[in-house]
Amino acid sequence: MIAPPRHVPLAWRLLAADRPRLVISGSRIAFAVVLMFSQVGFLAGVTESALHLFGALRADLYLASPDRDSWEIDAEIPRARLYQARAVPGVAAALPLYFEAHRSEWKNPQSHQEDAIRVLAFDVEDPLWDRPDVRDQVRRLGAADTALFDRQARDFLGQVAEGSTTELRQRRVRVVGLIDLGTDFRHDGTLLMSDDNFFHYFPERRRDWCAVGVVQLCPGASPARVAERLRQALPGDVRVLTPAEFMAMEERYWARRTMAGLLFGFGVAVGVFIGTLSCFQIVAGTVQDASVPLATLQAMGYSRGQLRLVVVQLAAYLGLLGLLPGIAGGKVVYVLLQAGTGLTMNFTPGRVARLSLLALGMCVLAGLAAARELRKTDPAELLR
Amino acid sequence: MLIDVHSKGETGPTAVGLVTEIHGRRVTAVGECRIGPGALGSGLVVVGPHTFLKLAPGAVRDRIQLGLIRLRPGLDPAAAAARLRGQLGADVRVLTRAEVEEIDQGNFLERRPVGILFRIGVALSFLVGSVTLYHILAVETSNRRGEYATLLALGHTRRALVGVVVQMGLLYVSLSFLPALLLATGLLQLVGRVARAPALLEVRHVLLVGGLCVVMCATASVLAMRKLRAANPAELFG
Repeated sequence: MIAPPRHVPLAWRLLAADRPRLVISGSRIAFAVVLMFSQVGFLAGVTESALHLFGALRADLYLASPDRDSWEIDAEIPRARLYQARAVPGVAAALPLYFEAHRSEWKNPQSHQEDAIRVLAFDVEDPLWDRPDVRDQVRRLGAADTALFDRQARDFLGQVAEGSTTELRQRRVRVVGLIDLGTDFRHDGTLLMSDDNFFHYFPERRRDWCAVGVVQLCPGASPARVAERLRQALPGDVRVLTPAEFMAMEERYWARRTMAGLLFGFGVAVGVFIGTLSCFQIVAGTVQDASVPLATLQAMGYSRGQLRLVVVQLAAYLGLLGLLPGIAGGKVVYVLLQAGTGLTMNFTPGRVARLSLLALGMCVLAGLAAARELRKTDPAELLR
Repeated sequence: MLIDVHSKGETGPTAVGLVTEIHGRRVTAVGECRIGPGALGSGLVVVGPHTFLKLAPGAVRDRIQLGLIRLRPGLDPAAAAARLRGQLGADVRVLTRAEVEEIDQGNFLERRPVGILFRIGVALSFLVGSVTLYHILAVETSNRRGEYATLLALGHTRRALVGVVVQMGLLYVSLSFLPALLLATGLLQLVGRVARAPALLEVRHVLLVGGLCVVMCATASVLAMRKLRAANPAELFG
């Protein structure tokens, strides 16, 4: 039996023998990967967009109604719970956040068309915001009928500049600053305002109820321990959540309970299925095409184990060749979609790693399966 | 209230006699209706105006969302709408039923990200399909290079061979269209059941996909034909 010369990259040479076909197969894998990325990205656009608001807040714990699992659900908590929370050791502040997104018709200053906008309100003295750009401008909200406008709002809410005046719920509102928060699947834009102004625009809202309580801890206090203490101190009409739990709840709501989330979830299932199936089929086809040279190698004395290694290498090379442009294409799709829709789709390393592993794993699996088929390759067939 | 029995599962049981709360106020389901959820809302109840004013703080009796107009039989809706527009102030829009549906759909498809995402999804699927079909045809063509060269040597024109590739592409597409259609119908039914979405596969959707398939087939065949240029009768002896 001949030992194969180590320096001959057999798998690569088999692939490179037919370059046009290699280009086609590689680009098909690339497209399959882009398909998977974009379907996963669509779903992320639904779930992750709902979360960037939390990144702007300075919160160590959240207090929310047990009936609430998203900003969508208009379930409030009594503000008295915040006073109770402040008495718990380790709690530095418990601040109310008011919220309205249904009865808040915003008039587009140009077209005068009205659309609902998300309104968040708070006491302007409260150190609620983590982002310096928001923090600096919040001070301007003390005057009557003023608000900060999210410049990432959808275009149909109108061109809004600092100093613009329009109407909110048919009442004059002046935009005294612009911030960057971002939209999500439901909310097309955001206004920040003082609690005093909020109750002026929404008098039917009860002042002693708020949407969410933001808890800030004393330096050095353990969030888990304070959360436990809060759970014991507060009655059952309030739930105590860490920011991670709070965000997971919001994400779960969008993925499982909204039709958009469910539909895109199906998209992910179908996309990943078609993507992995394509990878499998392409690699299997490529190995099949290489059956004659592989049979020749076998006739030359290569063992089955060695041939299997060559086939798996070939599958991995082909997978990598498609994967790299596929990842690049996926990134492009994400950037374009974010620009086009204003949604957030994070191209996280974890997501890239998971999908890459899936695609590459499927390629190698196809290689192994095709290698089993090779057993049927009879060196004698070469002579026909 | 009347409860929509087509509401999604998480809104809870939807039986007549159900007592629950809306906005912290007690309501009783006294009947049912069948409407179904939208892409964003998950359920629906119908209430009378008195109940509505109690349930929706901030709602004012004098301000309504929509006014519904029923015409006398035989009247032309467009003409009636034009007359109404002339009489009413600028704070009201007069729309025919078709216009309302169009605005609602346009609102969803063009302004909201849902529409953009789904449309890009269609475009991407089309691309993946085209590349797949091209791959199949290209491999098929280059595997049969000998046969094509023979045909050329026998006096068939290149154009005739191109016709063969196009036919092959159409054959592939039409053979797989029916099973794909059945699969898609099953899948959409599953989606409809889980999401309670009216995920209807209408004839125009089938036609659209069919049309896209033909375009896909044409593109892929034209590209795969370039493989044919390499078909050289002399190669038969190589």
